[in-house]
Amino acid sequence: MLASKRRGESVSSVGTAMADESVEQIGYCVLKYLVENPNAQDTLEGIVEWWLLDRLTMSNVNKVREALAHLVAAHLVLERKAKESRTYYKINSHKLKEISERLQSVSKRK
Amino acid sequence: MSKSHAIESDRVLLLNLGLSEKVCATLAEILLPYFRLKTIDFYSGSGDHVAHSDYDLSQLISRHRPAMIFLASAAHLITQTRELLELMRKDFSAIPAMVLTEGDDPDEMLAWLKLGAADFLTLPLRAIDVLPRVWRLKQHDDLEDPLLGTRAAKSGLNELVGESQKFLKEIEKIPTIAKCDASVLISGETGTGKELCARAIHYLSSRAGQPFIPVNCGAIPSDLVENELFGHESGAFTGAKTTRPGLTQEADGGTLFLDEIDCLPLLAQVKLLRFLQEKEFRSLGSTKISRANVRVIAATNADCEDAVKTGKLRRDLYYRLNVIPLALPSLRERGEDVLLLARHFLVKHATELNKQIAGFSPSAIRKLYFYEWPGNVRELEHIIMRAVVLSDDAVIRADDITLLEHIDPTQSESFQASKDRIVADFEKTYIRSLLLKSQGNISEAARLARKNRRAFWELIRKHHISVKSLRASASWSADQISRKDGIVLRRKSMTK
Repeated sequence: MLASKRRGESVSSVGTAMADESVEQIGYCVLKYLVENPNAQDTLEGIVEWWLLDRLTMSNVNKVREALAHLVAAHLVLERKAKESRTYYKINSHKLKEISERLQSVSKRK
Repeated sequence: MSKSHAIESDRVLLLNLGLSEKVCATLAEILLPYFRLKTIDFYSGSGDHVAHSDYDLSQLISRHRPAMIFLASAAHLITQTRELLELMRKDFSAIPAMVLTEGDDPDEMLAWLKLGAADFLTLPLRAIDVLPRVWRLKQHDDLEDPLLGTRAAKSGLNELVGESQKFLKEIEKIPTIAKCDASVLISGETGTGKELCARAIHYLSSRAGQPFIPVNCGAIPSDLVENELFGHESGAFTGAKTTRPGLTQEADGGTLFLDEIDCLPLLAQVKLLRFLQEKEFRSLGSTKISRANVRVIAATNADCEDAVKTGKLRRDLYYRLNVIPLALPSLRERGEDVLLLARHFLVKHATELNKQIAGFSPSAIRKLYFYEWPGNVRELEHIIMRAVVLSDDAVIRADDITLLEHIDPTQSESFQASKDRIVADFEKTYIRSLLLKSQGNISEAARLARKNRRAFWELIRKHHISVKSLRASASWSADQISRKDGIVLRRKSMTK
């Protein structure tokens, strides 16, 4: 279980509040991929098809979108909106240490 | 079985089969500041005789322990060079081999890659083309994780669904194309999966851990294209308060996918061409030249030759991009894949929406099968997604499938053209329907049509109808229908 309850809210260990545990799990996987590949950058489609390597997430595009929104809100992942309406996601390299610490604490708890 | 051997990481062996001394000297000039280069003339100079034997090759490699081998081949010694490459792949597969040839025929280059070359170079040699590829191969060799590669391939390639020969012939090229660093031009109608293929090339290549930046050139306002691709400095124009890197810079180290390349304004095409040639560019308002190591994959749904003729696409840019072509067939050309893809999208969207839908009703299958799919796989996915959303049943029925109305083309065509089109459409649908009914038996279908077999066969040929794929689809549909009906019946009996 990645989330811990605080004042009636689900608070994620890897991003801001994520209500759904599977969304948290996806957020964890995205961050893990980015720590292993700090130069990686892609759109939602690429993240679903190639980063998460999980058949389940292929059918949960909306959950991946939600997880990315949380990670962006927590400033752990940066988004760039292009003029043609696409959005690219990459790691916030200034938060690399914080991300690594969060990932470690989650994996210890697992 | 590959021989294991120690290598010297800064050693490069150049085996020359008939290329001029000048070319070898140029290569040496480029490599020598970074590598120790040993050049061996593998060609005697008289006739087509190769001077050294297999034994010599083995001895040479064992003695020099190179980190990489260049095979430089004159056009008339291609066969001998191929034999040498095959021998190297067999005995020394761990050492990447870079082929250097005089020709630039895309089929020839693909053939080299299929034989096991790690990459290829064509003349004239320039440090800017040679060095990044050499470094990339070296780095790839150090970091390669075959397990990750396999997992990624299994996951991402799952989206490339199809069994038709036309489709498989193109898709099977992807792992080979991924091994090299040349530009690729993917052509195909809208919705045929050009971006999926571009992404597969990227993630199967040594650039996988780097950015993949897809850009739809047709969707960016023409006056913003240059800014979007190459970025700007602060104060470059009114409103440019901060410096913003372009997508080319964002893609540094990775792959830039330029979709609808023929929609790029001509001025931006000039800048892109310069970037492809020199790997450098200048941001708007900047006096400095920036560099980026980017593999460019371009795509178009237009006929490139036509676009060049009409001046929409610069000829020099077209040649620069079209090093390796990949032509994706439309869904019409791979009719046997329609039901397979429909099933794939049904599972995907039913899971996403948490719905229990077992399959398609026979009438739904017929509706899907006889549609022309102008929007190709993308249209099929949207229609299946919509059907999944609308369906409250255990199967998708024909009524759940809403196909787009054809736009009335009669307004812009002559009476004769309109009549010909409608007759052709009717003939195609009619013949397919009878063939499906007769499980692909031409004599039986001809009998049902009350036409003689020869005339019926002529119609099949005229409309390029694949009887083989219809036979497969007919048996597949029958199997699916009986299985699905079984499931539905079982479910209904359980709810009673």
